[in-house]
Parts: sequence; C-alpha cells; structure tokens
Amino acid sequence: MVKAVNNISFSIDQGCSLGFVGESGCGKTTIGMTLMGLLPENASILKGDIIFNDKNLTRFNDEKWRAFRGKEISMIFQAAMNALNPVIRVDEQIAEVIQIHNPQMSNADVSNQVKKMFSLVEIPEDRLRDFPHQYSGGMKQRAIIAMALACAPKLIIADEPTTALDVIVQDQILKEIKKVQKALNTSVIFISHDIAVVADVCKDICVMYGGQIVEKGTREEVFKYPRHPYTRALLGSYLTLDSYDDITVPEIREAPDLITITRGCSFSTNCNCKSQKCQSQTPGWVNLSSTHQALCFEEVIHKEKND
Amino acid sequence: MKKMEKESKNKNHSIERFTKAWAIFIKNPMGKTALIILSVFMLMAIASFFVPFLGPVYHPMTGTDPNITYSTGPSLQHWLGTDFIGRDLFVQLLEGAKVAFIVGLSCAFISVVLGTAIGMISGYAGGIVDTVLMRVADIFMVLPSLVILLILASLWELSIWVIIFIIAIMRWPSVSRIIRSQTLSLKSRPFIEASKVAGASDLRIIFKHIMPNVLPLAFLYMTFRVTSAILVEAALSFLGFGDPGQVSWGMMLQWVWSSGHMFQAPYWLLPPGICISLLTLSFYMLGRAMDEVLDPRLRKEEEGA
Repeated sequence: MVKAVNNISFSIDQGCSLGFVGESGCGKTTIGMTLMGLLPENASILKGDIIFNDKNLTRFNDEKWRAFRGKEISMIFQAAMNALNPVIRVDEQIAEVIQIHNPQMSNADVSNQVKKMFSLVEIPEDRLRDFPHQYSGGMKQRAIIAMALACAPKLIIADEPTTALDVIVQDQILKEIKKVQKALNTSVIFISHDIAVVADVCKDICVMYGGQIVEKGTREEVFKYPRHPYTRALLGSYLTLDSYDDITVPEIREAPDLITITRGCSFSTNCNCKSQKCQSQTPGWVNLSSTHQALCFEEVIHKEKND
Repeated sequence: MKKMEKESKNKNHSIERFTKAWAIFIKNPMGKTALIILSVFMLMAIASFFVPFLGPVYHPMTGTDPNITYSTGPSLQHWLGTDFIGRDLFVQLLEGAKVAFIVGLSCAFISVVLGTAIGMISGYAGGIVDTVLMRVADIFMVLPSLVILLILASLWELSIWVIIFIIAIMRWPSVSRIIRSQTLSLKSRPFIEASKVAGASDLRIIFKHIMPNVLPLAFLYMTFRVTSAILVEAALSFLGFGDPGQVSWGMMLQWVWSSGHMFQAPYWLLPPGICISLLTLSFYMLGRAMDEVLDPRLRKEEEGA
C-alpha cells in the first residue's frame, strides 16, 4: 500500500489563498482530488476528516458530492486545452454548470449569468458561441476559470492553472484569478511546482515532499527564511538574479520510494545533513513562529542555520 | 431594438453556419455524387405513391395488363417492359425504391440508436456492466443474420416490418463496439473530469458530453447500416423468403429467376440489380462526406475566424 498523501493538516479562511508547492508526484494533485471527492477507484481515505463550513466531506455519499461539487468547491484544471468539450459551444458548457446546480433557473437568467462570467474573465461577448478549438490557449484558460466560477463557489482549487502558458499569458491569468478572488471573496488553493507563481498569488505556503507537508508558513517566512532542508534545496534550484548566498544548488536525486520508506524522515536519503537520527526516527513539527512550522529535527534546523 | 438586432444576428449566424456546412459537404465530390443519386431514388420512391392514380393496371403487385400474357420488352406503354403475368416493371422498380428506403433507413436507425446507447453505457460504466453487455454483443455478432432470417422466414411468413426489426436487432453489436471504444478514450479526457468537477451526473455526462462526440461516428455507421440492411433484405427476398405481399428489388430478382427469365429478359434482370448497387454505394459515399461535416475537428480553421 502506498500512502500517496500522509499526515496532512491545513486550514484556509474565507477569501484567503493557500499555495502548495512541491515536485512532481509529491501528492499535490491528490490533495486537490480528495477535496473534490474524485479520488481514483483504487484510492481511499484511511483516516482523518475534511471539514468544510462545519460539514465533514469524508462522510458524503455520491449524491451529496454531486450537489456539492462545482457549487461549493470547484476546480481549475491544469490541462485547460483539453478541459473543454471540443464539440460543444463554450457558452453552453458554462451554462451547463449553472443549470446542474440551479435547475429551476430560466434560460434567460442562465445566459445572463454566463455573460457576466465572460465579462468577469474578459472574453468578448461575440466569442461566446464559439467552439473551443477557435479559442487561443489563454482564452481557453479564461473560459475554464469562468466555468469554475459559474456557481460562485466558496473555494476554488487551482491545479497548476498556468502550466503550458507563456509568461505573459501566465501573468494575465494570475491577475485574473486574483481579481476574481477579490471580487467574489473566494478562497483559493493554489497547486503548482512553480514557486514564482505561488509566491505571486498566495499568502500562505505549504511545501510538500513525498506525500507530506514539510514546511508551512506565510509567504515571507517560507521564502525569506526557509528552514527545512528540502525547502532550501527547492528555493536553491530556482534561479534568481539576486541569489541566496546561503543556499546551494542541489544535485538531482531520486524522489523517495513511498512503498519502502517506513521509518525515519522521507527526505533523509536526499538530505545534506546526514545525521543518524534522520534514518531511524520520524521528525516532528518544529515551531519557528506562530505561523511558521517545519517537519524536521530541531538540531538539524539549527545546524543548517549556522552553516 | 438592440435585442431584436441581436436576435436577427444570431439567426443569421445559424443560417450562415448551415450554408458553410453545406459548402463543405457539396465541395466533396463523393457527397455531391451521392446526393444526386439519392435524390433520383428519392424521386422514384415519391413517385411510387402516385402510381395508383394511373389505374388498377399499374398496381405493382396485382395490376396486370390484360393484353399481355408473357414478359415483354420496353414499350411506350410499359417503359421497362412487363413481367411474365403482365405487371409493369417500371412501377415495380418505383415501389422497390420506396421499400429499399424504408428498410434501409429504419433498420439503420433502430440498430444505431440501440448500438450507440449500449456502447456508451458499456464504455462509460466499465466493470461488470461492460463485460455483460459486450458478451451479449459478441453473441449477437457471431450469429449469421441471413441464416437466422431464413429459418424464421421459413417457419413463419414475416411481414416487412418484422424483417426490418430482426435485421436491426442483429446489427447493433458492431456499432456498439465502435462507440464503446470511442467512449473509453473519451472517458479519460480531461473535459469529462471537468464536468464531474462541475457536479454533472453520470447520465448527464453520457448524453451531454460523450454523445455529441460519438455522434459523427454513429451517423457514419448509420449510413453503412443502411447499406447492409438493404443488401440483407434484397438477399432474403431473392431467395424467396421476403414478405410475399410486398414488391421489392430483391423480390423482382426472385421473380425473374423463378420464372426462368434470368437470361432471356435483361430489361427485367438488370434494373433492380443496378438500383441495389447504386443505392448502397451512394449511401456509403454519403457517410464519408457527412463525416467531414459533422466533426468540427476535421473542419478548416478559417471557418470560425
């Protein structure tokens, strides 16, 4: 049995934004899918609760999930190019989301709502009746955002929304998301491997490694004073003009095998500290401030700090 | 005022879309040829409804010319000649066109609707539902439809509608196989997950998101089914097991054979044979041309710009 995601705990307030960063396969998307109740058939939640507005999502049945998805929590997909049905007009696809959750709504109201969504994401109205293949990549991504927002959800999970877009469009989309978040007072969970994107949008950051959160804190704390060895390595891999003096560029090593690791810190095989303790004991949370925590041993953190 | 303007603009838009789709279709030489041939046959089928007004002599089944007691060649009075009891062959040919259309289209419609629905459900549901439905499809697929029809027809006198229904029942599995495989690949596409995220139910996903994607394929298969249904019905009638109360092209061939005119009356033998070939061919070509129109991905990019 693989524990794709283990020991995760986080909370997010209304109107706030939380970012998940980490390498491929560290469990970011699994978290997103769990929150949507869309885990693959061979996966299950073993322990723990997901509390959303006093409702425990782990106790939901299919029927409840269906009414919940899209209305309370919705998702912006990473593959925007393919997340639209190629043979249905874009406005109909967005109208559908509204109709699913408001079956009594009149057609005129629905189409008004669709137009409102399109003006919110700045797609011109005469492109409403187009097919997805007539859109550019950025427009498709906007349409996906409009679709996710159609029912004014309280939480949006943005799973790598800007991957595969060039930096200019990327910037536009991020601005769009921030604007919309402000306008609708929505909470956003941002999932990305791109530190720059997460730093741009999110106030709080969780760094993930091997299915666990290894460091969490506010944007400033995590990026200015990274304490966990993995976070330091991750930031070191990101090239900036004003480089961090105390961070060395990590060599590329293999990700942990989640099947064989049963004891010790999951990062121990790749960590620079190489202390005996890391291989035998599981590290606990070290409080660095009221908002800043790292999953490591105190002595390692202090040793790294002094290096 | 502005709203009205907009509505008329929308209306114009859909007309424009139709003319564009039409342009794509008609540009295709296969589509053009198919359409010309089909409209000729359509005219023949329509004409068959007006034949009774010419008098009882021209009834395709019972109308015999009292002056003729043997098969005659083309003449002014009987354009294609008469059969051995003096029935007008041209009138029979018109009636045959009508029957071919009825048999072909209704068979194709029933089997494609059935095949598409079963294929989509099977592919989308997966697991035990998929296994059961596909094993049933396998069973139907290996049944020789013509032989079964022959057995049934030799036991009971089958009317043309029963024959249509049986052909349709025998022909859905290959459609559902194709639709299932298409559904399997569609199922894993991100937009299906996106509509799940939006809270769509399974039935909604099947009929609103998967169906429009497999519809071009279903239409394509519908035209191919028309072809095979016409051929099966013709074969059955030629072998003498068709609806005995119904003139059809296959029946004409059966009569020309059983009355021993096979090599004596080409004016009797050739027309129904040529008609069967031409009609099935044109339905096939229609399918190929339609595929291009129905699938927006095959369209040229400039269309929407």
